Amino acid sequence: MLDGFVRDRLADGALDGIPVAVVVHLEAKTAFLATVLADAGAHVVVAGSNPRTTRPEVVAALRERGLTVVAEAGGDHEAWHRELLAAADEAPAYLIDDGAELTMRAARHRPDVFAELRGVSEQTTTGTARLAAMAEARRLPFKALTANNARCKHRFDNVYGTGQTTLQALLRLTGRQIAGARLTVIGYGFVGRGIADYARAMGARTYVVERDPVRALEAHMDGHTVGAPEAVLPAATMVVTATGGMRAVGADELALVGDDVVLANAGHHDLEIDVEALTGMASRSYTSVHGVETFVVGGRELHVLAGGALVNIAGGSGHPVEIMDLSFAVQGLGLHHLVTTDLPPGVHVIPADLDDAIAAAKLTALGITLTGSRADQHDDISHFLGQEHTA
Amino acid sequence: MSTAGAGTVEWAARTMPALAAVRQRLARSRTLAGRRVGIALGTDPAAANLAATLRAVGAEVSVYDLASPADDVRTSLATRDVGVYDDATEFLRARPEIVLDDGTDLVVTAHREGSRSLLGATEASARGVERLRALHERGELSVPVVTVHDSRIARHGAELRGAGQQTVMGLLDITNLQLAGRVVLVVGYGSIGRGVATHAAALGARVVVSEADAVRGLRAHQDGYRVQAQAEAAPEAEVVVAATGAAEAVPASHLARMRDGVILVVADGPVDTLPVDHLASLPAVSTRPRVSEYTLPGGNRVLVVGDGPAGCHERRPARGPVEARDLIVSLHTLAAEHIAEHAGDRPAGLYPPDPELEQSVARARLASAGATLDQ
Repeated sequence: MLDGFVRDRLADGALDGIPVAVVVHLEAKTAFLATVLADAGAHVVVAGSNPRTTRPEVVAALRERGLTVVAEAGGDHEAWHRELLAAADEAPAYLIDDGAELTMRAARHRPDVFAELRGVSEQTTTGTARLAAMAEARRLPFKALTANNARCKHRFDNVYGTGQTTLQALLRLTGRQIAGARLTVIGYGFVGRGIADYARAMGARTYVVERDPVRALEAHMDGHTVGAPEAVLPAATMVVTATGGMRAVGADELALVGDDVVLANAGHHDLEIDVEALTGMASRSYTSVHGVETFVVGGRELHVLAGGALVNIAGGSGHPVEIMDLSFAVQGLGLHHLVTTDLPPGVHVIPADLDDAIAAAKLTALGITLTGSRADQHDDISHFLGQEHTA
Repeated sequence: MSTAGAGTVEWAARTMPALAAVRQRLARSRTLAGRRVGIALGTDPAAANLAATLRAVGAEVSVYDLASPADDVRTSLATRDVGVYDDATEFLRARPEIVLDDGTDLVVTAHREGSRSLLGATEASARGVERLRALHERGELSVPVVTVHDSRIARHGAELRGAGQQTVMGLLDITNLQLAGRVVLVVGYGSIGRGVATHAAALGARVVVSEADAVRGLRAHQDGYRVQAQAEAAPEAEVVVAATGAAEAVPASHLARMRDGVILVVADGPVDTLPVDHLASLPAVSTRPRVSEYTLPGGNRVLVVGDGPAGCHERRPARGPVEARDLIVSLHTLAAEHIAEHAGDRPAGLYPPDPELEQSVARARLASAGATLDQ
C-alpha cells in the first residue's frame, strides 16, 4: 500500500548512485525493500540477516533484477559471516542493518570500509542497543538511525506483526491448542506484549518474566501473571523468548521448565534459548516432527522450535505484508533522511513528522480520514500566561 | 521411543490425555475386545492414535477416508494392521459392527447396501445427524446412533476452540494476512462460527456476523459483534468465513457486491458451501499455494482459500489442534463402548451422548492440566 508513497519520496534522485548494503531476512516481503532502493537509483548489495531465514527463490529473484546478492540459502553461521564480510567488501557508504551485524563486522574486520561509512539505519531492538553501546564507547564515528525506535515500526511490526506470526508458527509447528495452554513470555517489550496479549485473547493463561520493574508492572496491569522464572516456568506448557538479548532461557531456566514444554524464540538471537547449553545437558535429541527438536534431559523431554532461530520467520511464513509495508516505509525514508540530512555521529530516530507522514499515508490507503482539531478544542493558556505577566 | 523421527503420530500422542484415560478404561473393561470398529474420522495423527488405542484394547479396526493419509499415519496404521479404505463399499466389506462417523454418510450407505453386521454408530457432524434423522423418520434406521455432535464437549472443545483456532490460524498461514484492523464477516454463528469470531476478534479483527436464526444472532450481538444481513455486510468485508455448514452459505449473487480482493474461506462444511458452479465458470489463477483468484465479470477479484475442487475444501486436512481432536475422538470411543455394552437392548434411533461419558472425557483433560474440581 505504501509502495507508491515511498517510491514517490525516493524519486528525487538523492539515492542515485549511492552504494548501500541491505541486510534483511531474505524472504519475499523483506527482500522487497532492496528492490525499491535499487529502483530509486541506489547501488544495492544484499545480504541475509540470519542463515536460517534465507530463501533460495528470493535470492534468485533479486539477482534476476540485477541486484548483487552475497547470500546463499542453507548456509551455516560461518558462511553467513563470510557473506557479511563480502557485503562490506562492496564498500557501501550506507547500511541498512539488522541486529547491527554488518556494522559490527565492518568495524572489526574491515576498518577501512568502516572508516568510510557515512550512515547506518537499523531495524531491530537488538541492533539499536548495540549501536547505542558503540556510540557510548565512542566507536560510532558516523550517524545512525534506528528504524526500530520509529513509532511506525516498533508499535506495529513488533506488536502486531511479530505477535501474530509468532503464535501462528508456534501453533502450526506443534499442532497444539492455544486455549488452556500456560504460555510464559520472557521479556515484555513490544514483541513480548504482542505475543502475550494475542495468546490470552485466544484462551491461553499467560505469564510474564521481565526484569524492568515498569514493564513488569504494565504486564501485571494488563492482566498477565508476572513472576520470577522460578515461579512461572515450572508449570508452563509453552515458553516464548522476546528479550532481544541472549540466554533468556539459559541453563538455569532450562533446569526449571517441565516435561513436554515447547520453547520458541521471537527475538533476534539464535541463542536467546541457549540451545548449546541444552545440547550439553541432554542425553540425546531427535526430531519429533518438522521444526520440532526434542531434547531428553533426565526424565524430561524439552522441545525447541526452528532450532531456536526467530520462529516466525525461520519456522513460519514471516511477517504479514501489511506490517512490512510500514517498516519498509520507515527504512526506505529513513535511508533517504540519512543521505539528505546532516546529523552528528550517534543514534538518531527519524523525525516525528516523517513518522506521522507514514502513518497518515497508511490511513489514507486504508480509506480512513482524520479531521484536524478546531481552535476551540485547544487548551489555551495564553490568557493565563498574559495574566501572570501583568500581575 | 525411537531415537530418530518419532513422527507426527507419537507427537500427537503427547497431548491426548483423554484418549490415554479411555485406553486404560477399555483395557480394564475389555468391552471392545474382538469388536470390529470402523473409523471415518479422518486420517490425521489424532485419528491414527485412536486406531492404535482401539487395537491395543483388542478391537479389529478399519479406517475410511477419501483423502490419502500422510506417510507417518500410513506407517502407523499399517504396523497396527489397520486397513485403510477410500471406497465406502470396500470399507463396509470389512463388516464393521460399530462405525464412528463424521459426515461421510457411512451409516446411510450401510443401510442402502443392506449391511447386517452393524450394531450401532456415532455421528459428529450436524449434517450427518440431519440425514440420519431423516432416515429414522422414514422408519429406515435399524441401529442406535450416538449423536456426538450434540455433546457440549464437541460444541465447545472441538468446534469453538478447535475449528475456530484451526480456521483462523490456517487462513493466516496460507494468506500471510495481518488480521488486526480487518473486517471479517463470519457467516453463521453456530459453535464453529462463534469460534472463528472469537479467534479473529482476539487477533484484532473487526468481526461482523450474519445469521438467519434470531437467537444465534442475539448471542452474537451480546458477544459484542455487529450483526448484519450478509447482503448488507458483504461490501465492507475483507475476509468472509463461511461457517454454516450449509450449501451456498455464500450465494453467487453476493460475490458481485464484495470488494476487490476479498478473501473467502470455508470454516466447515462441504464443497458447495461456496457457489462452486459459479466460481468454476470464472477465469481463475493460483496466486500462491492454496489460494485461487477468480475474476468476476466486473473485473473484481475473489480469492478462495483451500485445496478442493474450484479452490474450496471439504475439510481441513489437519482437522484442528491435537487437544481438540483428543476430546472428540475420546468421546466417539466411549460412545462406541456404550453401544457395545448395550448392543441389542437399545432400539434404533438417535441418542445424545450419555452425560457420564462427557464428564469422564472432561475430567481426564482437566486432570492432565492440573485443574481440580469441586466435589
